[in-house]
Amino acid sequence: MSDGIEDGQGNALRGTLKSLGSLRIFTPDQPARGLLPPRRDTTGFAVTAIRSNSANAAGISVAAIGSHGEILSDAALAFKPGQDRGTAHITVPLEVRNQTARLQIQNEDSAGAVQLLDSGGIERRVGLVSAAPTENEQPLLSDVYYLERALAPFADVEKGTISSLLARHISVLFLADVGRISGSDADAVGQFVKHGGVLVRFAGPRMSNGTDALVPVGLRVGGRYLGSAMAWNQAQHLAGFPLASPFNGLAVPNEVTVSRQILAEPSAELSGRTWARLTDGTPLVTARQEGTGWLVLFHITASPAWSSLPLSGLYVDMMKRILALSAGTPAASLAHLSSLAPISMLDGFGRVQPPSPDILPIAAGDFEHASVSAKHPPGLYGAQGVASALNELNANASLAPLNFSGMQSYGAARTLALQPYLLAIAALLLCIDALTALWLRGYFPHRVLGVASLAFLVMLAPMPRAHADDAKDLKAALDTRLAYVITGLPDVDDMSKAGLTGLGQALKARTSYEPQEPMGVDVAHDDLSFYPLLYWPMDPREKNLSPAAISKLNDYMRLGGTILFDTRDLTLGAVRGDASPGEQTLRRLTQGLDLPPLEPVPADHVLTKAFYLLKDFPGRWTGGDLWVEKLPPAEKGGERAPARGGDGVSPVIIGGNDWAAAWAVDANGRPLTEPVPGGEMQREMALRFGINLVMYALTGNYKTDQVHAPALLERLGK
Amino acid sequence: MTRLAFDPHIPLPLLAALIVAAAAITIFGLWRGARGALMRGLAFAILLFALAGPILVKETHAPLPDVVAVVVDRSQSMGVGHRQAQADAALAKLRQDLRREPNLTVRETSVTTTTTGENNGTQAFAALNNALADVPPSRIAGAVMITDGEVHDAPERLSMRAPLQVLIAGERGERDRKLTVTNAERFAIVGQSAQLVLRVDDFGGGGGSAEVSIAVDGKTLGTKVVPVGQDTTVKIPVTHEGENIVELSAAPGPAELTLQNNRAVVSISGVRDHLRVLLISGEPHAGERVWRNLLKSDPSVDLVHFTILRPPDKQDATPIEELSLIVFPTRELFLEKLKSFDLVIFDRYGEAGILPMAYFENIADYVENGGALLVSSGPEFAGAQSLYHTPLASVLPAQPSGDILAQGFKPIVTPTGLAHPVTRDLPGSNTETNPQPTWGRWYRMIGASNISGQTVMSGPGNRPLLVLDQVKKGRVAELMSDQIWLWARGFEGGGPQAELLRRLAHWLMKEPELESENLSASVVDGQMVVTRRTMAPIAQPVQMTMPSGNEMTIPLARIEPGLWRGTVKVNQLGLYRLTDGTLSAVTAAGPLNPKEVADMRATSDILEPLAKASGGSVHWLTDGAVGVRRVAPAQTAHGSNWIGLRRNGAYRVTSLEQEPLLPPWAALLLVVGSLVLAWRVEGR
Repeated sequence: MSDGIEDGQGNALRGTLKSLGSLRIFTPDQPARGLLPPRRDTTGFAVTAIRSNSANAAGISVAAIGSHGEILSDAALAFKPGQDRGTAHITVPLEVRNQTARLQIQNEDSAGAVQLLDSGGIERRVGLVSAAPTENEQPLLSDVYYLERALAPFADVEKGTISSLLARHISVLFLADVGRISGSDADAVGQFVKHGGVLVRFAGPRMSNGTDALVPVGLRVGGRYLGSAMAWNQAQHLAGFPLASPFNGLAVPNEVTVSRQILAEPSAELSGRTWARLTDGTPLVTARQEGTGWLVLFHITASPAWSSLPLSGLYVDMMKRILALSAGTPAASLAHLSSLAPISMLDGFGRVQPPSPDILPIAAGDFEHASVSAKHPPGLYGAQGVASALNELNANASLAPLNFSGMQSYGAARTLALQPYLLAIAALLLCIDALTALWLRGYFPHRVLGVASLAFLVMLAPMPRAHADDAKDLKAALDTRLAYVITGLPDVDDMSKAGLTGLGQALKARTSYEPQEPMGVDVAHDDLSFYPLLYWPMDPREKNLSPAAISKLNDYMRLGGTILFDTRDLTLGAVRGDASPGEQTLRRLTQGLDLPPLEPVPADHVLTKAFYLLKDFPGRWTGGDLWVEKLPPAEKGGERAPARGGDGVSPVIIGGNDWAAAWAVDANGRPLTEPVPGGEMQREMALRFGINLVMYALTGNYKTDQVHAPALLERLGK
Repeated sequence: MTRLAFDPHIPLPLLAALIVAAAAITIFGLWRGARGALMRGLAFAILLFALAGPILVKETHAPLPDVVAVVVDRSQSMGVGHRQAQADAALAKLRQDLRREPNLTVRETSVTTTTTGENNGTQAFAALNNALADVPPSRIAGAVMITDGEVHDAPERLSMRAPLQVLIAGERGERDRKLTVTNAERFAIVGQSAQLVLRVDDFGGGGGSAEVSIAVDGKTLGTKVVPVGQDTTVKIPVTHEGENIVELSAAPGPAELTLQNNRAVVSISGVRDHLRVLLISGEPHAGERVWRNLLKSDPSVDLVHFTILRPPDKQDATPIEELSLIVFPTRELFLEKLKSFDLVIFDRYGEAGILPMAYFENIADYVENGGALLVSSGPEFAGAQSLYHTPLASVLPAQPSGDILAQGFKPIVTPTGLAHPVTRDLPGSNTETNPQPTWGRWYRMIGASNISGQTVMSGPGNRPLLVLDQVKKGRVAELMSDQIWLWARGFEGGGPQAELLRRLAHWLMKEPELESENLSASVVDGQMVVTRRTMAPIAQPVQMTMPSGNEMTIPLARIEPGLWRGTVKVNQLGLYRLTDGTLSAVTAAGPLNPKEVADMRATSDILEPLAKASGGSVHWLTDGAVGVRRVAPAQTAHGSNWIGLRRNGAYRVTSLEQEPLLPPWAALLLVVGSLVLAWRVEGR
């Protein structure tokens, strides 16, 4: 007597039975139907049902059932003829979605027709607060997005301000990178925790600048970077959870790494308060009991900015255990969850039964891959409030019908010719197999694309570098020289050379930098890597750059060089602006160059204070803007960070005051031009700009640093 | 065996009701002396018997042997004294006795200590349950454990319903001293100290105080006298990044079973959250930005950059309020706060009367006391303003010879450098097989003589280019060129500038992974892995002392230049000491404070309640040998010199035949026959 489902052993059993005597096989009238694991979405559950017989159209009803057996919602699901699976969507109102204990095919008495849901136990309301203002603009970067995704299946998630959330009687308060909880809120949160609330905080850039008293352990200011340019330590993995941690027993995935954390101040009680740590022993999650509540701190951000934990399943499991903690499950009993004990079982008819004593617990680390067996029947495993569901059917399950000739139904001895249908299914499977095989071997467009991009990358292989004149290289390498771009126009090049000579003399006289003779550089042929600064006057007669020269200039700027483009507006024509020949030339020449976003030099730019204090940047002419790479906006109340990695020196500086002409001197040191309208005073200011420019190119943001040096020294003593 | 069984054709209550009714009618008839009542009663009886479906069942039986489990403790604590020998003798006798018993299967299993897995101690009951897992409860005759009594998985109640007999090896009233680390910080900030809480207990009496000696990374730190039976806090200075291995050992107590639990090893991670770097630049040049780019690109570097842009001998007429002047707190920097820096870098710095000589003396002092100094020299080093003319010369490993080589050359990693962790496997480097590096050229180097320390890179004509040296407690690296920035700027393809400087910086700061002479050991998956880094052509084999005190020699094999490794399987928990004559290392197998060696005294306290509850007993092997008897399930299963195993008498049915005793037709005939008789009697 059979359930009509082929489990792969049917033929062997039939052979054995046949050898004993005559054999009649009985199967049920109705084909078996099963429910696959559901997918949660924003309005309910997307469910998929499978059946063992795909011949005829059939309709069933799938219900969402609460913990007391009440039907919360249901949906009709129709199998189309010839298809062995059907889908439907059960809409469940948000308020009761977390009360759903299981999904079930109605009137199908089978454990396979039931999908138990991981239980979060009692429904809980949690509040999320983030300090970052731009939550909705870039969801994938936002802390709240990841928290919400992890929590929504198990709790009612509310967002708002601290005071509004506390008024709504939440049981867990999540704060993402809130550095300091302000005055009255801090008292309210303190009271909330004392009376049994759980406060979960996540670190972030704000918290690394100092925090308040509502943290479980003392924190060091500044945060720690792992795997940065000068650091010896690479990004760290998670270590196994401490035995007393509520996370104990959760499997630690190898791929989770942490690249930045807030470091706890080492202390004797720290190890007792650590719930998770990295392989180098530094804490990742710390917690402290306060009154009847808990203060929990993740030393990383809630988003993947500092670690890949929020992208892993472990993150969700950790949130689940924290929710269980807030429901009153003691931390100590969570710590014993290294093996999940059976709580309630399903019998073969899909009815809930208490576990019999011979059912073995499942190690928490193996649970994900556990399969249903006599030792582990389907049911809920774990502890009240953090139960995990083991279901009869997993996502890959299918129901194959038993197919032997001469099978009889239990009711009437009817025979049903399954042969044609099975042949049809076989044909369908053959098609799927053929398509799959094609896809796996890469005959489909997006693979084709991959091959194309690989070919593209191969074509991008480095081009051999033209070897330049060695003597010139030697000269350039030994002394740091001012350099100008040779335009091929004798009058322009002579002026550049004279200008840099004049600037060099001023530098020699006033600063510790004593440049040798300036050098002209042929962008197409010379190696540019020796020069910190290139002066490049614009002239309409200049020829377009070759592609090789453009890529060379891009490399030069990327590897830390700076180019001063001088559009020489009033030297070339009567107008400034877009129409001036200099700017047009600039636009023509820089077409292929990889220029960063630019802005006029702001008042606090280091160019204005690298050596002299400057307000404007006159040359032979005055007025007009000087453009540099745009710095990122200032943090609230803080300094602006340099624009890029490294020291953040702008790779291009663009202006139009014909500086070379103002700096230029002849062989006897006499100036060659007359600055207009300021005369000698304007020449002095032009030289000051030149000196600031050279100091900026040579020492970067040194002057900005120097402003911070006393504060840094102050900190060193601690 | 043949027996009668019933398989009623009608529901049992109905049958019972019929029987009651028939009996009542018959008895009533007999009481009234009705004729034929007996005959009717007979008819009733036959009919009811037939309805009850009598079946004759023929069973064939085969007796089943009982099963006894013998668990022998071979864990580490059994190695104390003569316990193992005692246990072996008892086991031999037990085997002999059990072999004589008919119809008894013996399942023998043993418990061993492994260095992998969790801190479980002796898992005797897990072994017992494993041995009996597939045996039906009705067939278990009992279990015998031969152990020292230190069992760490004793359940509250036995699942087995048969006597547990325990034979204890060891002596009564043993005494031992034990060291426990009750709390240890797992990490500490480099330069600060970590706290350890430890405790010395004298089991079985004792008191007063105990001397605990402390060593860090194999170097003795001193001893501390701690009160016995109380927690004591000790501070351990953490001097470098990575693992700091702390070894604690308590002096032997008044009575000792073993010294294995007098020792503990704790590993404390040294962590640096910020790298404090002081960069001192001379004349501005193209390389300065490269230094800044490298150091500023890492947010974990706190860079203090000192340079002079306006030498005091150069004046211009600019009014002071138009100059960007920021006062640099040089005195604070070079005298007071200097020790807070992790690394000091001189970049082409020529001393032209700007910094007082006292500052340089202080820097030399900083190096000798454990500081890190990196000097990158340009032409000024060969001239009158050379750093070598300052008090810093006392710590510099290379003296300028005065000549400056200005020509293109490719830096070469020397044979020493190929084996040195700082320069080994640099991307683009020359190798043992390929003498030509692929990185870009440099254009200048400064001649040097009077080299102390190791030359790991060289220029043309084998001139020293990069020299590493240890000066007292500190370290110095000297780069005899100012051209490393060409690598960063990608000239001729560039070179591994950032990687070389990163390694140099961490070597200077004593990162253990970059030590050229280093012996380290760790236990991974039950394997002791010994790693030796050395510049010597041959690495000496390593002598290993195991927790039990036994020694063995581990030969090392060359993995790559400068790196040697040896592997051996280990199965004892506790502290392993390794030495090759010059360097030494310690490591621990298993968890901190392993349960297995926590208390090594033989005891009956743990197992006695369980044995008693199961009807079994505990015997000390020192009291003499015990015999084995089979007892019936209800009988007492122990005596002063014997242990009892249950005789269950279980059997298996090998075949079963059923035969209806009363076929329906026979029943019908009998009923009709008896009724005819009854009628005849009644009709008379």
